[in-house]
Amino acid sequence: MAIIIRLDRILADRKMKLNELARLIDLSPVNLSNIKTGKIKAIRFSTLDAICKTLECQPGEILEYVED
Amino acid sequence: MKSKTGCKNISNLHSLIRFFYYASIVFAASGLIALVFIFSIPYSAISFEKGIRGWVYSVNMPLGIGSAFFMISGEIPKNILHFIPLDMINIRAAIVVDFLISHIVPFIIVIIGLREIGNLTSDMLNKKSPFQAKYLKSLRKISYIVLLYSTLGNTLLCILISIFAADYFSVTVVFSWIGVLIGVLGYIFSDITEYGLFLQDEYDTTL
Repeated sequence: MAIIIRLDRILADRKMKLNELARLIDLSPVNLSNIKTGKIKAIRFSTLDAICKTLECQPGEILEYVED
Repeated sequence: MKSKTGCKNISNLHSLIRFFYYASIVFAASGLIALVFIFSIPYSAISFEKGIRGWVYSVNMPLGIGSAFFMISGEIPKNILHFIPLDMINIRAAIVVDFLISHIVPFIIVIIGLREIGNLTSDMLNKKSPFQAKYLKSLRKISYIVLLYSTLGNTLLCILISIFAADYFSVTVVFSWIGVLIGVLGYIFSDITEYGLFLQDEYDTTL
């Protein structure tokens, strides 16, 4: 897929664990792990909003377009 | 409150379908057992006469004086044995073939359909989505079987009766339009289920 999720990089920058972010945005760790590993087809604006608010970042920092 | 009522409705529907499923199995099994015994009962127990729409038959096993155990009855359509004189017909074979093709085979299709609907309602009771690939496949299969039986069932009956019950070959192609309609509706419904399956997958993989 051409869209890559860079959640692991942002989490490393913020020194935050996946489980902690999952607890803060009220999402199950399994689902957040699926987002992190790109095992999803789409992401809701509400989920993206919660992640950006918690990690204090822009959506562009999480999503990256890579040409195939 | 509303979901509880819905759950109760599904539960009632599930019980009803299970009841009809087991009843159908019992009926089909009794029919098959009756067919096995048809070769051992005397000719006097078999009634086979020309009716308005076809050859009407019934088998009543005599139990004693004045009492009989009713086994099977049916009607072979006029177009199949119409031109054949009675003495040229192997009555027992004709009854067995007709009962198998006209009664047992549709019952088996109904049993398969009821089993799948029962599994579906069972999954709905367990809060599982009804849009699953296994139901899509079985719905498609049942639709194909119903379509095939509706279009070729009568022809198959003609051929089998010609082979086993009469020394006279005649094939008539008669469609069961209601069966064709049910098969086509089943196929259309399976297409709708496929779209539902796609939407379910999209929903499940959207976080």
